[in-house]
Amino acid sequence: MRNKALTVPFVLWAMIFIVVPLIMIVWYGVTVEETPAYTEVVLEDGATYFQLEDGTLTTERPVKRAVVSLANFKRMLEPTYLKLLLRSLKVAVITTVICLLLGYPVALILTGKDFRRPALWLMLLILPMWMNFLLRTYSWMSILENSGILNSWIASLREAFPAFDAMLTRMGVGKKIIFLYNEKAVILGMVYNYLSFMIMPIYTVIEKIDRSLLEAAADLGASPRKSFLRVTLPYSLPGVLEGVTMVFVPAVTTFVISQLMGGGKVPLIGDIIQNQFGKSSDWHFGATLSLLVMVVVLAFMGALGRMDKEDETQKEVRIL
Amino acid sequence: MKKLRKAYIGLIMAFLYAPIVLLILYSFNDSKSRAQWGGFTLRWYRELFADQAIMSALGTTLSIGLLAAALSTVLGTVGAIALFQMKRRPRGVMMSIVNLPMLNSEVVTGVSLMLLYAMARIQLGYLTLLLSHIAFCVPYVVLSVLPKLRQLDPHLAEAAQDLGATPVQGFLRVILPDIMPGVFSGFIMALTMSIDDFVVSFFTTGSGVSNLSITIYTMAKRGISPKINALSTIIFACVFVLLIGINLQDLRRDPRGREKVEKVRIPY
Repeated sequence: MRNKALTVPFVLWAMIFIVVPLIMIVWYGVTVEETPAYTEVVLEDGATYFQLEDGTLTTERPVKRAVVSLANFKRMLEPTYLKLLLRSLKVAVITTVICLLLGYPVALILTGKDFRRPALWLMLLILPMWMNFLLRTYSWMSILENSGILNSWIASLREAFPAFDAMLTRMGVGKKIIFLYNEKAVILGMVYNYLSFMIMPIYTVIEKIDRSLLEAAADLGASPRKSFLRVTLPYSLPGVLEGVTMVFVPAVTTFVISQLMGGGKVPLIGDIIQNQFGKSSDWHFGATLSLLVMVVVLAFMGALGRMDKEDETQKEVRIL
Repeated sequence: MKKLRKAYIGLIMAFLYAPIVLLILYSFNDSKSRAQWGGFTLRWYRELFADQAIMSALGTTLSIGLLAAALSTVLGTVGAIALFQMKRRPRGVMMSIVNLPMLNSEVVTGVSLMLLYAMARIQLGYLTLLLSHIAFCVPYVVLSVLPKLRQLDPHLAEAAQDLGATPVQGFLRVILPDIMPGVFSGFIMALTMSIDDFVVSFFTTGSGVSNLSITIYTMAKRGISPKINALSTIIFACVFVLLIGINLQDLRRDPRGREKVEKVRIPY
């Protein structure tokens, strides 16, 4: 059943809404807006002409136009922007590692025998995602801000327990602890928002591991620790890789979390891109930075993809 | 050890639910300040329904969500069938193209669509918002329908045609019922992605059209009104009841409840 009537509109749609927009990014990225240099010439009869550098005369004032230039790539390599990129990468890597360390045990415990209804628990774990993520992040702000809930709890604890108060004073902790508007707060916001992205794929993969493999390992005398290291861990790696991607990619490009939790004091590369299309409005430079982000993300996925394949061959060898 | 493991899950749940519980509490708090408790009230719920800005943002979110989900389900199903019929090499190329929006970060998708509309000289607004939501939803629908097509018995469609069905009848009576679960989960995915989206909407809307996410983002800088908390509490309660309902039904059918996990999977 071959039917061109279906293929043509779909391919057309994909071209217009996927391929052309990406070409637009590349085009804007490699061009800048320039007004050609010109001199105004006023003739005796009062008519005004504009003489371009190559000598041609026109009656219309030359306007801005896109010119192919690598100027924005040079600008991108300035220390200011490289530092921002490095900070984005650092924050994203830390977030990914924390999510992995927190999330892997969750997936492991839920697939174990402690919980009779793992699917229900998993659902409860991802239910928070149905509340708008801006709102959840904002809610964290009201917990952490200077006159927020956490600080008022600490204050009442201090009143109730003088020894605790004395200890904190000795440690040099002020009356109001500043939790918000720094890199740690941004990382907390990201871990909070992306943790479920890590748990889900790892859970799905561990769930599919054949239980008889673990029984066989135990029969052959492997300790629980050893059968985890030799069976569960290697088999769960594809899920880990998917989870890492699902956390890293949004973490490296977000601009909302850094604006809310960082209060504008921890700008990331995403913030700069957003700025270029808003206030400072240089679409061309914004497109160049988007290209950079695309390359970083694709390189990251490429690296992970290669790891994934290597891992598969290793697994086969081990089974043989 | 067992207690330790349960305590760990409990801690993670507390971490995930703390801000949500807080939001729900605030929606009943008789004080505009976030720091103090001014007593129980239903005032924000009453004021919510009188608030034109929030209600129109809610309307935009819901209408865009339903329209984008319906249209991208049709387009995505057509796309999946088209891909399924293609020869191996062009299919590989098209698959990579369709996968691109899922690999790209939202910022890049948003920016690229914004530049597309600028080139086509389409004024940013409701239409561009809808087109963009369709654009990022279609790949997910394709991905959820395609596996169902692969499971299909190829002889079924032939048999239908041998028995005198037109291709359209064959599709409606034979193929569609079989791939329906994939089509349906694609629709749900598209709906939730559209309703939750902020980044792509931010870049591709204009002329005063704003959905809930954008409204909340603009509010977040000056302080979010407790009315929004009231609205989220209502939405959260609806989703909670719905999901628990679906899940309990599944558990009753399949007491181990392990195979059904895919169903509640959140589509990001």
